[in-house]
Amino acid sequence: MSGTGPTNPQSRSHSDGGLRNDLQTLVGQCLTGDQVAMLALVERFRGQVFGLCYRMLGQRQDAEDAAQETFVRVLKNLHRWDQARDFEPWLFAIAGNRCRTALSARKRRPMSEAVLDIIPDKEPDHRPAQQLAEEVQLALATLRDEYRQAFVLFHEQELSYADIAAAMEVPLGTIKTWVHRARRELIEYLRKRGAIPEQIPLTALRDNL
Amino acid sequence: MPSAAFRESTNPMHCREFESRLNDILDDRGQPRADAQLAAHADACDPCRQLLAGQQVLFAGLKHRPLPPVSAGFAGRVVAQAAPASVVSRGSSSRMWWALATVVSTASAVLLIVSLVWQARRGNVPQPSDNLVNQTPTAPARNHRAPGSGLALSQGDWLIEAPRLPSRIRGGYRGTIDNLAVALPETVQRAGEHIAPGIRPIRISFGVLLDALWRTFPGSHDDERPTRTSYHALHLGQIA
Repeated sequence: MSGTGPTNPQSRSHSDGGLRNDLQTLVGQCLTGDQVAMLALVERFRGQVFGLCYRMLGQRQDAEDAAQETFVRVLKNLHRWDQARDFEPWLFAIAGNRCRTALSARKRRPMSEAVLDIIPDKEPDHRPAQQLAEEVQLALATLRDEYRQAFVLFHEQELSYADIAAAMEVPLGTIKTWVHRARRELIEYLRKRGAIPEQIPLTALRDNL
Repeated sequence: MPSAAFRESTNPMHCREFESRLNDILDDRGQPRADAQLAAHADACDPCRQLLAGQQVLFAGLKHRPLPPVSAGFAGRVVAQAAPASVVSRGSSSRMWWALATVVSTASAVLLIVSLVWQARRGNVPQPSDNLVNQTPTAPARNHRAPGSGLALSQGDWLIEAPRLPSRIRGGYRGTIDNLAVALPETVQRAGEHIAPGIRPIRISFGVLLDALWRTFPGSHDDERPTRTSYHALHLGQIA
């Protein structure tokens, strides 16, 4: 990992030598036009890229389109990847750009076409895990695009702050601020939606923490 | 329940510190419950306890969020879309340079030939001074300009006023082309015989091409053709 991030023992180590060498070999094969290697590269990162796109866009079809565009761009521009740097920040930078482009296009479309997969209830009555997950997805949709991207990359893709800063091309401190604000706004949204109980027994909190 | 002022004054950790510490722990992907100071402050402070409960609910929701599957054949579609273009883009780069070089060299050759032909033909155009000598007195003056137009010139004006090289130099151009047509094939023939005898068919083709080019010059006549000592011995049958 590119050095300036916080001490992060639980995060994935993207600088693992073996994985990196494997990836460089795979990329080298892709550059020769090896379609099997291209398939392998797409399969390897498909889940992560689609996950980011889905969390950013909230619609499966839009997310799949954005993920497809991302991989097509990646494969066409593999020769531009600086192999001295990590692959994932470069990949997520392209994915983030595709998502922002899709969001901009969606803002220009009529509202009836831009509907999230999840329609919020007026008043949620109980909180099983599925409903809570839907509430979180809705809460994410209310965030600013850059807050949402930074939050998803950190908490779901588990990238380090340094890698996110590289992917989004902003200073590391800005990324931290965005993630902190995202957390706070998400909690505030959940509280307003009644997802967080007003009175919490401390014992219950301690048991669940 | 203690008031906010009481809480701020009696707790060793303030609410602002609580949130900052909570963020630090989450940034390090740690567990807030392992921090005794956070638990102690949350025990006495409702807003901070709500904040702690909120992050707990948030991460529980994040954990259970479903991710729909990507449709079948996703990777194949990507590769089908990207692979031909990527191969073509790499191959087309070198092809583009070759095409550019070909176009530039062809354009240069055409420009050179056209300029040579133009200069050669100018040697055949009757001299303006000759025309002026043969003009009848009643012929209209050709060097006056059209009324109301300071720059417009008639075609006849151009014949008179266009810049021309002296006939001695124009004759030199013509002579240069003639000499080139004679000397170049002979030089090529000599060089070919001494250096690379295997290029004889190419040389013969070149000679025939140059000869054909000369014949296609506008205004050229057989009697104007220079003596081509090396050509006289050649005919198309030799190429085969």
